Amino acid sequence: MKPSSGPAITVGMATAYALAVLHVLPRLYFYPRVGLWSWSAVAIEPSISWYGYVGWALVGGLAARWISRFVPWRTPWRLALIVPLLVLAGLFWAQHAWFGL
Amino acid sequence: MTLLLLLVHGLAAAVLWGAVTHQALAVSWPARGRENGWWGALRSVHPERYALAVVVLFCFTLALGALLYPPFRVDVRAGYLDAQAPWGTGLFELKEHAAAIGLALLPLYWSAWRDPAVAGARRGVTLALAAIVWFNFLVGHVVNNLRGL
Repeated sequence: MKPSSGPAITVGMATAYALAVLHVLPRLYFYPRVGLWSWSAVAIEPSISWYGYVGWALVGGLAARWISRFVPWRTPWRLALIVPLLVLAGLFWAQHAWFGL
Repeated sequence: MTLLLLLVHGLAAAVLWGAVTHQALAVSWPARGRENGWWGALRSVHPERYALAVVVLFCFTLALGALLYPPFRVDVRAGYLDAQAPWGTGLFELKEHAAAIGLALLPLYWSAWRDPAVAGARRGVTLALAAIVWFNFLVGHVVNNLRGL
């Protein structure tokens, strides 16, 4: 990774992660009890979606790195810092029902 | 095997927590000249020397956490937390999101410590990463105390 592409990769990863959690991107499930991966949900079986979210984040980072090679400007570091923090704030708020809020 | 992974995950998290906290202190309140005492020594380190260790430790700790996720999901979350302590499930959901966003911050963090053009981000991204590591370290302990693997 070239150090200069870091801010763009961060924005790409955080954006793709948010889109995956919002189910804008296809949701990938892992069913640990049976050891199966699937794009479809099985209601009664415990599943892990987080692997898919992180996978999409990595894809987003690679895509942002590739795109950044063809644009003449650099991603501002302030943008690269604020985007993940805003995503995290939104994700935290989205979990409020677990705490009876 | 699960217990061994959990122990290594915890130890790696502790080392990461120490490294990123040290770096965050040194970059936020650098020592002026030669300062004596514990507080001065703590802030007199070279924060740039911690960057590679923090990146490697973060990825290593996250990878171990990902390996531990299946037994947690089945034995702890589905078997106990969802029914008995749903706020524990909520805390873990926050932890996994924080870990993923921490992973997303690493390229910016690496650039900040390696590229002079991005050096302005050093303090902000290091503090953000330190806050995520602290949060996940504490939540990991709380959730493990609720119901360990």
